[in-house]
Amino acid sequence: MLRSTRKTLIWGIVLAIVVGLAVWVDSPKHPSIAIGGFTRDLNVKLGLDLKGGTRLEYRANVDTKNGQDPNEALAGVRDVIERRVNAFGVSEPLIQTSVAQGEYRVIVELAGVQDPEEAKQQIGKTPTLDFRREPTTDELKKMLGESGSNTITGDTFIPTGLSGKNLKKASVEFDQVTGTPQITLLFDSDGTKLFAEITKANIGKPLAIYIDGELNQAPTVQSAIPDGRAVITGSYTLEEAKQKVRDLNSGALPVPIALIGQSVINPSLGQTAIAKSIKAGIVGIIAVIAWLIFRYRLPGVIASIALLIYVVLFFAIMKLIPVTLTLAGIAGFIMSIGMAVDANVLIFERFRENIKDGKTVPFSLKEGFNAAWSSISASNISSLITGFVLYGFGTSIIRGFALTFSLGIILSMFTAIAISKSMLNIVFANPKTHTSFLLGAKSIKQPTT
Amino acid sequence: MKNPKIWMTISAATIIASTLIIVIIKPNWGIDFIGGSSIEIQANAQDAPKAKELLASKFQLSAQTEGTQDGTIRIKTSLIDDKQHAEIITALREANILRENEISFEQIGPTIGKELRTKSIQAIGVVLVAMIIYLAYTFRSTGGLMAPWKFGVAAIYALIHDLFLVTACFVVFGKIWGAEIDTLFVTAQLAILGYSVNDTIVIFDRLRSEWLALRGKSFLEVIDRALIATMGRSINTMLTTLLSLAAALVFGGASIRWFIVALIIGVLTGVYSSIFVAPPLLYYISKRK
Repeated sequence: MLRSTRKTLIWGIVLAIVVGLAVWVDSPKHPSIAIGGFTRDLNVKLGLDLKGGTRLEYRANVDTKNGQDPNEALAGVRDVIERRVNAFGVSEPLIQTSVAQGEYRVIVELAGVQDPEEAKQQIGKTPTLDFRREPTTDELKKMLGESGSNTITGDTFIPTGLSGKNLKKASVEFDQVTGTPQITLLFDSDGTKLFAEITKANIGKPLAIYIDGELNQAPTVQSAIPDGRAVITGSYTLEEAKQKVRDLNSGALPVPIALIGQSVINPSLGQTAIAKSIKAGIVGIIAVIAWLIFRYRLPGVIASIALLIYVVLFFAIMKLIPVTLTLAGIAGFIMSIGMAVDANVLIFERFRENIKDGKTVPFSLKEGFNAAWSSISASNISSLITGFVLYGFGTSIIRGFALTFSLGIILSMFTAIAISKSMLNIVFANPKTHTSFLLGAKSIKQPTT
Repeated sequence: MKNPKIWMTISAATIIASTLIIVIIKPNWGIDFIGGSSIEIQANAQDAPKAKELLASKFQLSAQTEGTQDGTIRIKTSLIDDKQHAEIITALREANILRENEISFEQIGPTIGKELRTKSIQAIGVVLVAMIIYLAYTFRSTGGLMAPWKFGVAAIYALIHDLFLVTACFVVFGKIWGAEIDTLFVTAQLAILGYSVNDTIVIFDRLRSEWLALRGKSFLEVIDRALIATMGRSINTMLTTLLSLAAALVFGGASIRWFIVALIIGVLTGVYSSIFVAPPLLYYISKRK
């Protein structure tokens, strides 16, 4: 007996500490936590639907036939967009890539951005850089044949495959003689090799440099350049040169992208939604508690305490993971309040059945737990399977729901079993609680000794 | 469960009727499934028809407009570009329909729609298959009652019943009130699957233990006793879930209203199907008297 009292005591203390910590985490007074190397911002992360902002979805036109590695290209697009968005000054932009329907997608979420036009321009801007060569005589003949006349209008330069993606670094330098600003390009190893080959093959011919799709200049190649350095001179002002260098360094998109979906959400919508959801949650909890106490009396009170602990722990875990809260996620949580008490309901119904059958309270309780357990575990595991499938297949909306739903199931198993079970055992260890009123049963069999 | 035949007929008729409703009336798809644009503006809900007229006369767009209780109007059209969008907003403002702000603007290209459709169907399919396997595993020892997979089949039948019934309800709501079948609806459906199968598992679990305790009784009698014994739990869990969902419906705001409605209908059909749809089928496929 002494031993079990001590065990109960230790368990109670541990529980009190956990709940205390959870309350501390939940409290809005503590915006961040830092324990050793572990730091967390404890402000609730809100999804775009609650915070307001812009969501843009792009398709990256990856050319797989060209031997382009799609994942690499997609990662490249992601990096470039991230750099451009950062330059735009959005806090915590969310940029994700995905492959769907054989298409490569990039999703950009910009919290707080209400006017998507500027963002779209910034992202869609393609500061491209590429080097083109003069066509050979044969190629020229072919082109003439295709156009069906003996003159060609427009430029005839042919892409060499050397482009902005081979660029390691661009910088502004000054011409040593004239002092005018010029742009120095430094290629990566592939680019260096390619540049050497191109310059070697085109000695004495012009090599055209295109920036943003426009012919910038076409200097004549004097000799093969093996060191991967190219200098673009031009009548740039210092400002222009700096801007170009910034654009080039922020990178050209390795593949073209096209906007295929967008949504803009006003933050006021989110604010009202949060206020309403909080109200809905509180009313829901009160209604469930009222029903539990009305129906199950003392055990109902215990289940209600377990439910409140569930809510406290739920939010603490949400903040610690952290889970981004969306509207669907809130709905998932509100629904989980109702479902969280299911385990208790199962136990209490069995408990009552046993008491009705004329069993003693301690026996009924123990048997109630044992009999209900297989149903509780089986039904919760099936819900978890659903939650995982939802998460695996979901878009961001569904995932928000799946996360809170699954978290709710796991946590409710813990609170309903571990917490209410020990509380029930403690409370009903006292025979004074074995009354018809407290148990909501007509007659209670008292233990014989 | 005196007459399982009647209940079997009712459930089969429900599924057939639901299918007919879905096929004939046709769902009101959300733009996330078919592509298109959606605009939500702060406005008088009563002005929704006026907005529809304006879009038709000025832009030749056949739009669906819906006034919400949050003092907004939702406009759904085919895919429009940014220029058209800006023109529409200006026109709505000039016509004095748009008050204060535009709340949201959403454009979804047809490829995303196709992807979400495929993914949704896949998700539902995977859940159904996973449930059959999980139930067969959970009920692997039945004391010679029947083959374990039969529990899975009966539970899935109840789930399919729920899926069709809730979808049919939404198709009707879509016709009358503009409720949409969109990603949120599918999310609700999947949550319903989880809830409904929970109920069925609890009943089947009780059925198995009653069978082991009452060997020699007829299977129908065992089903009856299991249903009566689990009734209290079914009703109470349903009530607590409905109480919290009702709170979300009343206080939760317009943007998740249909989502909550789907969950509420789903909880009701889930409880119903685990009592009146799954056990009768189980009775028949068990081939026990």
